Amino acid sequence: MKKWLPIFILFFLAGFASFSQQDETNQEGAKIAERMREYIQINLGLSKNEAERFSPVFMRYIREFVQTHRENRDDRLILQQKIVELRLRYRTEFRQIMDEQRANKVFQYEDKFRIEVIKIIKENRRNRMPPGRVRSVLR
Amino acid sequence: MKDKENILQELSELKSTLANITPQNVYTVPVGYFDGLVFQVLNRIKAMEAKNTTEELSYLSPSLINISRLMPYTVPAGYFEEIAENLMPLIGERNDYHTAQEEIETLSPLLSGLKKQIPYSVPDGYFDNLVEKTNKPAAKVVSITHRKWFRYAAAAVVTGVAVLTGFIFFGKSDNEKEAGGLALANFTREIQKMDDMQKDNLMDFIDAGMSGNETAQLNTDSRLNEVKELLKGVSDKELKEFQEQSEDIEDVLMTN
Repeated sequence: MKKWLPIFILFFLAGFASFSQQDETNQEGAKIAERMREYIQINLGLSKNEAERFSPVFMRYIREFVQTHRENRDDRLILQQKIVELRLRYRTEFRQIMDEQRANKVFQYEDKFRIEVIKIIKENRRNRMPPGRVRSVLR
Repeated sequence: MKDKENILQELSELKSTLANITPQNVYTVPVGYFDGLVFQVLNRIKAMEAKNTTEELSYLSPSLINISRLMPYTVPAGYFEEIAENLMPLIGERNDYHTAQEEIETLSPLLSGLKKQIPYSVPDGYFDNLVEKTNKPAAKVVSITHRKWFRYAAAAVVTGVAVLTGFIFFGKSDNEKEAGGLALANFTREIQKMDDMQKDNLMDFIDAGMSGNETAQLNTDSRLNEVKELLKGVSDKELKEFQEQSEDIEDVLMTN
């Protein structure tokens, strides 16, 4: 019995570590979505009650967005069509939480956030690379 | 006289109180004041020009200069040396005389009842032997550099520092030596995929003045800063995936 106990503990720890890692990965994937939700909430000026109702719906929308992207990434046209359909569906849900004017702006702020993030990523890349050496690569 | 009357009449007509006041001299001097005044003034002047104090005093006060300087009172010889011995028997003869002990008993019986002995005592000859006791032999001084293990420890520390420094400066791989080597390699691969038009566009973009100052311009954009703040703590992997998703739906982005 004494021999089996350390082996059992080792297996248990390994299993626990893998679960933790998986959970961490999932949480990590949701981090940017949380930040985007925060950005949209601030820009829309949602009240506390509206924000509490908006938050789970938006996170559900993001999960579906990621899934749609994953399933249709090879066909860009279809992907764009699916995203538009998804947005139309969720716009109806957002209208039940806030007034129509602000519900229409949810996706505008989402897209602004996306554009800003792309800008920042590109800027970071440029900063990491000295311009002189970039030119030498191009030649 | 006529003028005086006219003035009085005029004051009466003006109903002034001055008309009722009788003219009278209010200042007086002692009798014979002016008889000796000339001599007094002359003596003051002479005193100012006197050569010594005796001469000056003779002018100012002749009566003071005539007073004898001898002490009018005298005591017998040795009077003050014997006064204590002579005085105490005389005091003791008085009926209300008390000794110091009797007086303190009268004033404060509590104080008179206290013992006058010192409560602390030391053995005989204690202070004579005190110096000898405190003169302890000085502690032996041992130099730390004489210890063998200390030398070895110091040598080990110096060697460790030298080896670590060597690793830091010379232990880097070739890729790491060159700053941004990995990023440049990735960029080179991306450039190889571009056609000539894209390369030219990129060249124009870089030559337009991407010197690093543009970062400062971007920093002034509050919206960008706001997003930057929000992106803190987000991993590169997540950002990359997010960028791919966003770029794939670029044509349907609602940015207007």
